[in-house]
Amino acid sequence: MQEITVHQLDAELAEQLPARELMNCCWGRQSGPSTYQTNVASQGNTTQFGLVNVNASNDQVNLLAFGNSNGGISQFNGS
Amino acid sequence: MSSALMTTPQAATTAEEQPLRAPRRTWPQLLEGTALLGRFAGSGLREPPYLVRRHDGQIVQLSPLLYAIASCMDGRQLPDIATAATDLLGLRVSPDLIAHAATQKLAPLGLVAYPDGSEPRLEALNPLLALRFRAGIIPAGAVNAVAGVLRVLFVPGVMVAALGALLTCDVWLATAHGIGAGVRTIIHSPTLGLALFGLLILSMAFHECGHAAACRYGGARPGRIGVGIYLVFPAFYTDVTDSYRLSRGGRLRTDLGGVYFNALVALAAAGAYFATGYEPLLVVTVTQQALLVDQFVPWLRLDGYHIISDLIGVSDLFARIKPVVLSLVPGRPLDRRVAELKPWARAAVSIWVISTVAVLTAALAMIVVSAPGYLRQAWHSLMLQLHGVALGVTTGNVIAVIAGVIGAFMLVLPVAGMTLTYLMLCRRMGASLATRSVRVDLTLASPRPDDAPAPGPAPTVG
Repeated sequence: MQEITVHQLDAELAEQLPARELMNCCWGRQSGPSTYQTNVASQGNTTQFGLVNVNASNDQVNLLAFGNSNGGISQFNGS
Repeated sequence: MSSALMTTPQAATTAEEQPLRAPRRTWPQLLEGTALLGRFAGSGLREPPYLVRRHDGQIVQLSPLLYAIASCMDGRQLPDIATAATDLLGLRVSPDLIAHAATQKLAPLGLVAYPDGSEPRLEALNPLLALRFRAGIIPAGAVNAVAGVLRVLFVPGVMVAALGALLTCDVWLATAHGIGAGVRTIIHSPTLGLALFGLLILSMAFHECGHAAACRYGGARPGRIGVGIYLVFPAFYTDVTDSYRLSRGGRLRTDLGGVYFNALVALAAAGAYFATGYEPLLVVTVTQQALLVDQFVPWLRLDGYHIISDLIGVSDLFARIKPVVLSLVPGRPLDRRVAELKPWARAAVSIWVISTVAVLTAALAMIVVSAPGYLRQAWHSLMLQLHGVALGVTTGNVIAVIAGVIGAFMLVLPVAGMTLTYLMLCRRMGASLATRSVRVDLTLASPRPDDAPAPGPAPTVG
């Protein structure tokens, strides 16, 4: 009968697996008016959509989104 | 070896827990609370590993040979373990080899004690890009109770009906109704904004209940639900480590349980709209589905990552980034973590690694480039929020104060998170460089190969 050696044994797989922690966070895509993150906190004409800050006045809405393609701020007309 | 294991009743079952015999303090013996779970189902490895759950709930994977040896450590004396392992494997295993396996392989992983009776300090791994600063908010017992009730939502008939109804609602929204009226209402109503914020938090917690319920539906036991910081964002999490024991389908159901519950929230909001006619509810329906889609991103440890991982059958893809990248260098020997993969699994892991490196590098560059502009605008917005808070305090407007504080918090959070992530990255790199430096010192201090004695034959124990 074949014998198992120490070298063979030392090469065998034995490792701890990482804990399976399933996460859910508002990481958000960073392009355009990604205001789907509805954690909205409004104050006067300024509204916070998660990591996106919205400032509305005269039918104009300023968006501040982290990593926005034009340097962090974009505008669009809101009605 | 594998075939010998597979024919034994104890190991042949996939992920069925084998209770240990009553403990009698002999050495080596599996520690109390340790459970043999059987073969890892749907593995992408050439030789599928076997799973053992430690008494702290963490999972260890072993080769078939080590698993067979461990399965014999049930309170028998050392020579008896060797005899049993020999019979099980069809290979001669000496008592000295059993002692070596216990001391060098199983004790460091917390499966058996060391010969002197001491036990290793058990810790969960701290993998790359994992959740940080965890805090449990719902204990495992309560999570199991809730999951036990909610698991009925995974009955196939219920799922088909719910998803079909949501699809119908989406078609109606996209082709006939829209959400413009709801968005206008929300922008002009600060109180409604706060209510939606609360609803988002609740739906995130419900998402986690979906993972827990799916885990329970499959036959595994979910752990606690908690909160933590992922990169720079606050996150909920559910500990479903026990779902390693499930089949591939069971693990995928657990991964998808969260987004399925998001879909249920979206459907409930649509149902509430049809009952009341209140337009902002339709915005909730749409935003919940947008959140759902985001979870499928595979390059961060979100649900999409776990789905990919379970489809391939490889447990920690991030740990294989370096070996896979190095394996792409011509002439370099394959790392064990690459060589052990089945050919199709290796191809799939390589595609994931290349896309992940590309995406994360681009994201990092984008953050660096946009950081100055973001910080400038964030500071301006922060001043606006604080001004609003001060105004709210002066006029006694509680809603304005709460909204301002939340707004300010959300502006400060990414900056604080970025700083923390940067510091942790520096710390990890510093530790890595220090370790490498010690290795170099040891190499220089050790005798050169031509000074060393000629190697003898490979030692054989027994």
